[in-house]
Amino acid sequence: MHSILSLFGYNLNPIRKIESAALALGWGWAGLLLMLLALIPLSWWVYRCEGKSISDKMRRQLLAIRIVWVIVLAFLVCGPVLVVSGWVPQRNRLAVMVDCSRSMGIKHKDESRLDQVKKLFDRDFIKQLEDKTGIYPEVFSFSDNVSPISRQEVEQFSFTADGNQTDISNAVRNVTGNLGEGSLLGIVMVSDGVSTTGENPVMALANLRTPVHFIAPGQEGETADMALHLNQPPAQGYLNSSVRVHGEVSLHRVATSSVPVIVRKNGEFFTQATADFASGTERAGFAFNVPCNEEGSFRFELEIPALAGELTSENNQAGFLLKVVRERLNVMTLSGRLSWDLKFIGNALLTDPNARTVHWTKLRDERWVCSRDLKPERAVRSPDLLEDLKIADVLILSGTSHDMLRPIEEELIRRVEAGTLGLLVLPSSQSFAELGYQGTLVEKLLPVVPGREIWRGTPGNMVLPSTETPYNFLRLIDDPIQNVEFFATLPKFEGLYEYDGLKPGSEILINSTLRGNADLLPFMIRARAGLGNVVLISGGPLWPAGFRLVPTDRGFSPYSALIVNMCKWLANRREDAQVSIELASSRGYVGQGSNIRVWVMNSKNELQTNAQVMITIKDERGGSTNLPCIETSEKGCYETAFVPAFRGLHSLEADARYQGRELGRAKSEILVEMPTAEFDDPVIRESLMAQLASDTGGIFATIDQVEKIVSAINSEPGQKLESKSIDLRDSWLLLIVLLLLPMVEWYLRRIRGLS
Amino acid sequence: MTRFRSILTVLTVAFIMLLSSRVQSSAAEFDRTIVPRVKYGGGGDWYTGPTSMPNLLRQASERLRLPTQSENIAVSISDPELFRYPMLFLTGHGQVRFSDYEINILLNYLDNGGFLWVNDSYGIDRFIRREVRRLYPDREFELLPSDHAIFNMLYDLKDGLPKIHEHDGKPPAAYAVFNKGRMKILYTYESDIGDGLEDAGVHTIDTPEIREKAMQMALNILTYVMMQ
Repeated sequence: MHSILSLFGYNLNPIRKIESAALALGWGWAGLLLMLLALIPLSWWVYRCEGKSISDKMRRQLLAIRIVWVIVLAFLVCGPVLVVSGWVPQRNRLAVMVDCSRSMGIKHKDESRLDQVKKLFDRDFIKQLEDKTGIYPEVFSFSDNVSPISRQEVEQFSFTADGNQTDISNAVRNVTGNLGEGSLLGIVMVSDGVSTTGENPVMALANLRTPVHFIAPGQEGETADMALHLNQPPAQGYLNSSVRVHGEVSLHRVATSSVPVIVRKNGEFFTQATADFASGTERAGFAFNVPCNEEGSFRFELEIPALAGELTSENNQAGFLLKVVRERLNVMTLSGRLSWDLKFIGNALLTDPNARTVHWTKLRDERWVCSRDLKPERAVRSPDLLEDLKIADVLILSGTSHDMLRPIEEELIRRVEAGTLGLLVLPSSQSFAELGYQGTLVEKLLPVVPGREIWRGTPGNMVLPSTETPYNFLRLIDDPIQNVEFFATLPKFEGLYEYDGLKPGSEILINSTLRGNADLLPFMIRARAGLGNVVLISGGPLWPAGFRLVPTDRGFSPYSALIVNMCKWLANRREDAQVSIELASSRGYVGQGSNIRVWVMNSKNELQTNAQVMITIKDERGGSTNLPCIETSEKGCYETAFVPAFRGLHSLEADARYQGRELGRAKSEILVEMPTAEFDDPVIRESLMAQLASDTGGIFATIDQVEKIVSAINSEPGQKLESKSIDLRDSWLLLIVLLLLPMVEWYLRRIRGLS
Repeated sequence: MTRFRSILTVLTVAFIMLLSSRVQSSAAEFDRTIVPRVKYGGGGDWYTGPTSMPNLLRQASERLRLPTQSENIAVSISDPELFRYPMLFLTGHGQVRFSDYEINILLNYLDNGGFLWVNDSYGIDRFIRREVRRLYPDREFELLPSDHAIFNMLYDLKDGLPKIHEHDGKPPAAYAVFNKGRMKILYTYESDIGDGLEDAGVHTIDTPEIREKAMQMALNILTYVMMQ
């Protein structure tokens, strides 16, 4: 058939041997039939119209010639195509893949797995394959990535076990994709079978048509090993709570009933946990509590004892970073009488889901009422205020007499000066002298000189001292001019206190339109007390009538933001008010990307789009990296990826800007460790490799049995089945036939005198 | 000389007045509490008991040192000034009806932190339940137990809501509508605290003890609202 088609001039390349052929018509067989049904009677009728005398023999000859010509023409008009399938010869390829992950560095009897691979290569393994197949194998190293290895590198054995992960599925997919699965005689994979990332190789290799042969450098169960695993260690804890850490110890060829786990906190002994093994089990869990009684980041390192001659000691340690934060903003209010102002401060604060409020009011005698998160509780006598103060971030005083403060005064002063408690003092109907503050420690915290304050019962407005206020909580509107106008057009307050003067170092945050002897009287004043902040508001009601219950879009939200942001600032959490860093885990690994997300809000607590966010990362060696963040599809969220190069504690600082103006900063930390996934289960996975080999038509062998693999590799020249479509109109022979038939008819007619 | 003395006297008096005005003004008075009554439609007597709220606010000023404006102020739901008042008092004997517009405003008011105290003077029950159902279709009045905090704020009312006026011989009951964990509406039924708050002599059958109970309950309500 190949010869006939070649005779007609059809090009069959590259098919050498035709396996099958099928004829198809562009118009279909029905089209051809209909055309013939129309054309044959027509040509016969035309022939009959010719009224000349002719012999029967000649009549039949002429009719046959014409009908053949009509059939051939109709056939060609219908678009005949011949689909030919046949074998095409191919160049064979063979791949050898060497696992270069860190688990290949695990030693068995002073010889690492990679050393055994070197021995294999030294025994001319590659040459044996070349001799068998007649082709030099393509050699690759793989771990989390695949790299081709040149012939020279193979001869020098330039393999190092430094890959942090192993992805067998990805490696095989890469090699078959590069070399072409059809031309591959097989893949020889030299690996310990520890696949730590990517798809499950059993699933990924199930449909592979290329045989994958596995060579294991060593045998399962040769050496004893103990491994320590942490199950999702906590990244964050909340102050005055505790977190529980869970882990597991696994044994391989070790007989013991318990394994001690030493826990160190910032390098110092913290506690010891024990993993107790039931008889016959190889895994046992352990757990311990970490009380979060101090803010900050703490590095925890866990360790189990190393055995002599153990498979690897790299899996005997684990660590995590715990960040203890006061995530919740706890605001405590202490008032000497009921006040609508405090009710609305509470409402504003609770617009923030992370805010918690506790409001104590002394009603009469020793009768106190308390509401937590604005839920009133039954009255009590002589409550223990210290308990609530201990967890408070901000304390608000409103008409609080010194007698009420006395039991907590010492703690209050200590915490304010330490910067762990912010103080907000609201005006009351009584002067500081009437409240008994004169000569007390609390008086020293105040930003004003009390004693002779005078109530100025004249309504007035608030005035921002400057358009460019350095305090974010005073920026309720992004545009500075509009922001000043916003404060100026707020409903008036009913009056304010005029004090003798401000203490040195005090700062006016908001002025009033009321004029004192010379200057405008201050409405909001700030002072520093040690590391803490104290804010005094001199006028009231604090929230003019319009704020109390404002249903308009302009009303409640900006004021709520002012309260929430001011309290966060007072709680020394200025950065948290605007920008926050979100880490998937506080633990990162060398060479592996960690996603860092930064959430940015504007001064109104609205998520900010189109901000410029930059993260500066500093490692323990002092090296610094700047990473710009890209805005994500989530509003106000910006993201970047960080691939650490070194282990150790890395500090992160995010700086967010909008139209050149700083919105805020946030800080965080990440503990970078060498990845331990390669050592979590360090034994050679013989059963997995045997299954993968079996599923793909390959074989599994240990390093001493490589001859089995060499002999199993198919050395026949490769060929593949290909199909080709031939347009039958593309033939000079058919053209000749088509021209020849009318010429023959014309010639016969001519010699018979018919034309 | 006489002229000089008179000028000196005038200056002295002016100085003393100026000084006294400054001294007087040292007592800050702001953030005054006003509890207006709701002027509702439907034909009910929203104006009943005009002295009850002024009396309550006067007592709040005395007993709680709360700056108050003790006047009988009425406000309709559609009044833009409504949002100045954190608490509203609604009382009467008959029909209460809010328009759809008023329902929307009242809902907005309550959801933004406002509070409505409904006092059943008698005969209001059917109508107020209907209107509250229009406000919060998915909420029901909850009966407050006698150990609820509202009966124990400023005064301990161990039996819960006190009985002030006898109407149908039914026991007094305090119902509340809660939304998002907060009490939005308090309905004092078959008690008539409002009558007990009125001036002595308006309801001659109210003994001083009964009137004191009513005042204690009203102050408890005011305290509770200001704490939530």
